[in-house]
Amino acid sequence: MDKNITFDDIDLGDEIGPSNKVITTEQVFEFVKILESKIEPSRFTDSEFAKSEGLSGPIVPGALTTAVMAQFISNWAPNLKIKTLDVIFRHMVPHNTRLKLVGIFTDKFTEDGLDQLECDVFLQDENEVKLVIGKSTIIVNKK
Amino acid sequence: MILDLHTHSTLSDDSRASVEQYVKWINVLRRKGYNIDGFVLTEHRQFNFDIDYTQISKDNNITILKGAELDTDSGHFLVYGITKEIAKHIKFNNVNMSAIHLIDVCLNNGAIAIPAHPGRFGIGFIEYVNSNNFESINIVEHLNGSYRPGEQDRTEKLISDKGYLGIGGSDAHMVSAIGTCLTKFDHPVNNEKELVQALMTKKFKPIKLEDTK
Repeated sequence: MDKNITFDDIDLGDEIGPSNKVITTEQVFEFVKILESKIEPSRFTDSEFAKSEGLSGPIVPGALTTAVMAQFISNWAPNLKIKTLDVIFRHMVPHNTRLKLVGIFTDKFTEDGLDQLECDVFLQDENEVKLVIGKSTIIVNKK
Repeated sequence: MILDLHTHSTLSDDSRASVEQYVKWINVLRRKGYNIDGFVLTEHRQFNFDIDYTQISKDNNITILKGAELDTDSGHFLVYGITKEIAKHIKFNNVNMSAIHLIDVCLNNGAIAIPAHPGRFGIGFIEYVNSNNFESINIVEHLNGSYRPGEQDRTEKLISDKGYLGIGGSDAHMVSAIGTCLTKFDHPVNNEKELVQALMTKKFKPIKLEDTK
């Protein structure tokens, strides 16, 4: 949508997306560099290390996945403010694979004078398997 | 009577949906023309006798029943008709309880245990069905809203090979997932005892949400 929305614009059942995304190995390395000055082999950065932990390959850090889901919401409408985003990791998110983000509004209410929305957010693989599921509470800022 | 027989509220550690939110969402689905009469809460590894959903159920004309999803040595089982007598014989949080014991306890106490998502890779009942004497099992969860590719096919084969009957449940952990898979009963189901009776009569079938319009 990429435009400001109002509280009244949203009905329960309205959807966000879908939006396609690939989280590349380069992006994972950039993310890990924020935390570590020297990147050590890990399940996030090294194929052999990941395989030694029983994974099929290196995976995307959960914090990065969460950030991507938050970005998906905030990109949709700039005047939304994410109050909470609570995620559940159901499956590993591999590097360099096609991902799809979708959201669906499940509740709307006004609390403490703030117009708020609740939204289920899903990060899926290309078979529509939900890899990460989340619930976000979003404040709709006045225009 | 159309019920979602497999749902999780925030009482389950991996769910983010409250019962109140499920109720609100079912009302949204009803306004869109879908037909859902209610749901059964099947929390992971627990059963709370004290929680009472009668008022919210009446206020919204939505049947809300309680069951459990229990871990066993032969996969997860949906259990309906749990009583305090049953609770004396099983530990709900035992992740490796004997499935045979669970099934027997249920049969002897007016309850029923049904393999959940039997086609699931790794933990589905299909992995264990030939490892023990499960002749008293005749119903499995046919439709599950959380299946990955290939798991539904495995379930179809299991049902075909063994001649099982099937139920449907969304396995909802998020608000918008409730009702995606359901069970349609020929007779009314107003409480847990009637649910067990309805399952025993074998007059039910699994359906998807889109089939209820």
